[in-house]
Amino acid sequence: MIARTVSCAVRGLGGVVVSVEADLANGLPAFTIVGLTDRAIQEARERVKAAVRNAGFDFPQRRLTVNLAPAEVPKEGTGFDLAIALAVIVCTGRALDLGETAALGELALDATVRPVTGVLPMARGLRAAGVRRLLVPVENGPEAALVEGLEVVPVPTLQACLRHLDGVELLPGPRSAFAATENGAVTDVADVRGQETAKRALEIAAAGGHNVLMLGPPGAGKTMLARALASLLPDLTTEESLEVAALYSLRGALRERAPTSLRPPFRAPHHSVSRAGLIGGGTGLAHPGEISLAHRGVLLLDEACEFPRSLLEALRQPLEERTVTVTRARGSVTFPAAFTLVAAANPCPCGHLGDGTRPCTCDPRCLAAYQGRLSGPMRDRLDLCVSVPRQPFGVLFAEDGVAGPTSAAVRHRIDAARRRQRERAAEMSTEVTAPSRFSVAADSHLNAALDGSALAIACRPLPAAVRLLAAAGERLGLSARAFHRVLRVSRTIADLAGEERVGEVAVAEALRYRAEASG
Amino acid sequence: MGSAGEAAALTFVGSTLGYRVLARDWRSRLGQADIVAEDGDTLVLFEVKTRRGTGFGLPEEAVDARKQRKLRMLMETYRAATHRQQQPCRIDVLGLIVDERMQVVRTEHIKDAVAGE
Repeated sequence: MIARTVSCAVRGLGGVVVSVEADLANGLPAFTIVGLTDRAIQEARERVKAAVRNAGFDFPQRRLTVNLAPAEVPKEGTGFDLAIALAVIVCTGRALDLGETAALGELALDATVRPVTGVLPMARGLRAAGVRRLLVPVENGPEAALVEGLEVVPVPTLQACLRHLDGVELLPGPRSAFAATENGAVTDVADVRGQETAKRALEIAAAGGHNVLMLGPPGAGKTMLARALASLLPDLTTEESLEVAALYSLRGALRERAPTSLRPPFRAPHHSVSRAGLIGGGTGLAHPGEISLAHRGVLLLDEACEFPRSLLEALRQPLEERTVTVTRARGSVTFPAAFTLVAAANPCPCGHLGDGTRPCTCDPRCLAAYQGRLSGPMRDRLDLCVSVPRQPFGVLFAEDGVAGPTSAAVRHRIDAARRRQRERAAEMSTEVTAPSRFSVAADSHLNAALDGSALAIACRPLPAAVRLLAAAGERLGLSARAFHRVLRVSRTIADLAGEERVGEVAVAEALRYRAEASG
Repeated sequence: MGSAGEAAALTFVGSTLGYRVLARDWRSRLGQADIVAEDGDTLVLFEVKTRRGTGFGLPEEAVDARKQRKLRMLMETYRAATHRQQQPCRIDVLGLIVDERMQVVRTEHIKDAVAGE
């Protein structure tokens, strides 16, 4: 007797439909699972055996073989338990209506169904493959329900699952546990007192998708500003927010972020983070790292100079590609990683270089080594460099409470600037097929992605601006790369001002944010 | 000790369990099957273990991995010899504890004690 049920394996951010086939043959009782499985799936034999018995069924006393097809896709984790148990029950002759139905979930020995990670991406993959009904653990019900066109059945136990499938006792649908709330305490730009230059730089960063380097003494507000940048980014679309939620689901981190939240994520890994934790990786098949959890949001590297240099260098490729490919022995996976990078650093190890109030006590050699942590190529990817000085008390505790515009007000300007970029990109795509720095289409219209000929066409600086650029280039010794950076930033500044062409004022402002200026 | 236990075991399998006994002390080059019986359509090979007292552990604990491998081979040989390859089968262990006068004081029947590989 052969039985077949459907489950899902995770591959990168996608789900691969897995067909679970169970076959009973005569012979001494045995239970074998094949199909490129990992340790957890081999152990499923014991869980499934106990769960099936404890749910009140006879476990077949014959030679039982379960195959997880396609057999060449590596599979891992405990999510196949439920589908295996159902297949076993069906192949003992019990009829179950499992048409267009898939099952995910880990089984406890007493037949309760336990939650698993990655349900959202798997539900999306299953739906795309034509599955209409999905049996999931109760805890994973809400995230699975985010996928449209899928009837989600949250199952507490194996017995309850069978009663539902028989139509004897129907289970309630998933509770919608996620209120569409802003996640956590959001820092508004108005919460940051003073720091007008930095705030302006953040506005430009949010408008053009530029990466930011902030230099300043400890406690000046770098972290707060970085958080505020997340509040300046435009809302995600529903599709984008699902994509972000899917990444969180893979890490089992949906508790940290409501999947229905439309606000861009903010991640600030500590500098002791491991390579796998930052870039992605881990045992077996890779998990998304912090840079993927910051997808479509902000990644803050606080104390950027304290991060191991190799880690910072590893960020270069994702910054270019907007995706990250992690290669493991069991195969390689690609996760999206289109984040805005904010690197915050002290100007020197003691933190007082350039601070008017206290002298810097650092050894010059020490200082050079410290600043060398941020390599040239890395600095090249930080379009905006801004210093965040210590604010005088007068500004911090001003009675009049002039706090400046709120994030919502600034976001208005940013939305307009982004709209302009999108329109220009649409026009340009008919003229040239510019080699884009970014491969993810969603962000390729942003100014930060402009390169080469596309940059020249997009900017079209006015004669006065060209003269200024030439003069500045001569006096400051700008490299071609630095030129491009200044141009990109000035394009964004002009977009914020609503100007068709890049003018003198925009270039003058952009020149202030050069990374070399403070190097 | 063995024969006294096996007589009691035979009574247990035939009367108490109500299985149809097919063979006792079935021998092949690989060894000896204590009892072969049928439970409905399932072929059952019994390994009978007799112990005096429980001082050295329970009798059923004496079936180690090597013995299990031997029992599996024995089962396959029996099925081949009697053309019963298509019949469902299993291996049970019957543990008997006897006192000084060789009276059976406890019978432990473990169904499906040895799984296939």
